[in-house]
Amino acid sequence: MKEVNDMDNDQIAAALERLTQPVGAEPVLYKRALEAQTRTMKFAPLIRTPAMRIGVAAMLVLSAGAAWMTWRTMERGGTVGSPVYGFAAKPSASPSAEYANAPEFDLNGVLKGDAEHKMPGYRRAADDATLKGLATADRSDRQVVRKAVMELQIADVRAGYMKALLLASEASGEFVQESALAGGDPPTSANLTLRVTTARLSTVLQQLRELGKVTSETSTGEDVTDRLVDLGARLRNEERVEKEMLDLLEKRKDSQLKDVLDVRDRLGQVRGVIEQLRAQQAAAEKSVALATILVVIRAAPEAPKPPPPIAGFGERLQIAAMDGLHSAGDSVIGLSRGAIAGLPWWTGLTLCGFGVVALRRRMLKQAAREPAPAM
Amino acid sequence: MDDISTTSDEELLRQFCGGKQEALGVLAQRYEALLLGLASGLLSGRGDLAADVVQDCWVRVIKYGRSFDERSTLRTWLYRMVVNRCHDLRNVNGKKLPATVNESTESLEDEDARRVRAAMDELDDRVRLILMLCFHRGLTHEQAAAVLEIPVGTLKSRLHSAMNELRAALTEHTEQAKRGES
Repeated sequence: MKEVNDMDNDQIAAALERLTQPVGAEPVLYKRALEAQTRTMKFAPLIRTPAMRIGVAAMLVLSAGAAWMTWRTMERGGTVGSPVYGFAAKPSASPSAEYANAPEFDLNGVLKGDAEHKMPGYRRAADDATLKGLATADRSDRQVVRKAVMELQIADVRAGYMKALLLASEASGEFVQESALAGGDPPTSANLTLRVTTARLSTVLQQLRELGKVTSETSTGEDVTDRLVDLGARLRNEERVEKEMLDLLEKRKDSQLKDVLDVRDRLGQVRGVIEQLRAQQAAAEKSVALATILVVIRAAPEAPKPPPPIAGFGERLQIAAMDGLHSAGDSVIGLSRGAIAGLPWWTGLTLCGFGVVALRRRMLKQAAREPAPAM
Repeated sequence: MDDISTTSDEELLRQFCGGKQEALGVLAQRYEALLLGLASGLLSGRGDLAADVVQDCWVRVIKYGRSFDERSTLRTWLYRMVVNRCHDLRNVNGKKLPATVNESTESLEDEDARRVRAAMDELDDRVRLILMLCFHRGLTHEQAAAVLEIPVGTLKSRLHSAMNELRAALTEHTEQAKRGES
């Protein structure tokens, strides 16, 4: 084999050196690298900050928690939008619950034209049609007969009955129109018809509500303005007829006896009508002045048991300690349930977290410590 | 600038990671041309690919400089990165680099260099790497051994073998050329 006599080792070495000789005088590639890195790493420093990392971690945990809560809620059969415990709002078992929190219904204000201000929408206190008519009426001319019916449930019927009786103030013309206890001893029901001044109607109704649990309540208002006006007109007319007849008798003293008797007979009839009209007018005015309240009291099915009396500070302390222990136990059980039920989530999240951290560390280390070229 | 020019490579890297961009400029001043030359040699004179390799090398320095644990010198790290990227490029798509040589680079090479390059292309990658690293101006034999993570004695032994293979390849190449002429 022929030797390469035209190239010795020095020439080969020089040639090799020339093949790997430095290229370029001024470095430019690092600037391009910097620019490229600046573009790609625009948002990276934000994620590198501890606050951002904590934020991202918190978001992950919150998302996992929300997913878990949603899952648990749906598993319990609740609705996703309902509160944490997953039960939907139930309708009230009885109307009394509505009444308990309802604002006071001011019938007087309504009847005087304050319907828009005082009338609560859900209160079935008065007939809508009646209220519409009353609300549009002229408050100064309207004469209204007010009636209310209230059913109460009271544990002690007799005591409630007695308290209701005392609500009518005899001094101001109010009275108990009718009252009755029924059901033996102890009584199981009671009925009362109270006549109270119209101005005090709402006050008395409120006091009645405070006696027990209201199971139903209705209020009505009857406009008797036209009837009173009619009665007044007829009364004035009959009085005018009476006066004309009296004048006629006075002027015709020399008339025949038969005519005089006819006039007197007719005068008696007119006076009868006048008395009748006056009685009707007085009754109507009385009805307007005094409102009627029919109260029905029934015994409550079961009286709530009073809490056991607490002897002293020591016993109270013991109860408080027991309550605290129970609460702590409940908390531990709740947390355990959450931990166990969400175990797949927590495990997955933890593994993912460890995986990401380990992968990132590995990549960083590998990149920083470039392996030796394969030989 | 005088102070920074005498600072060690590792200290410059720390300064760059601390936010001082001029430090990377000084490092580039020291190594970019050398790395570009080595990459060009390993990639058969492909200057475009060599530039990509060196730029990628700087990107990795920027990205992972904080994690550099100084178990080796910065110089060794840089050279390893270049060598590995060149090796990856050569092995993409059929294990052979496309034989497109930068004409401008080729025109600068003399006849000896062209012959040596042609012979080198016939050699195994490992042999070529030993030769390039050992005759590269920027590295001593100790530093080349550190890049390859082998003892210096082993490096010299492999260099001796590599030189023999290169000579044989040159002879083969010369004979083929003569046969072609005749």
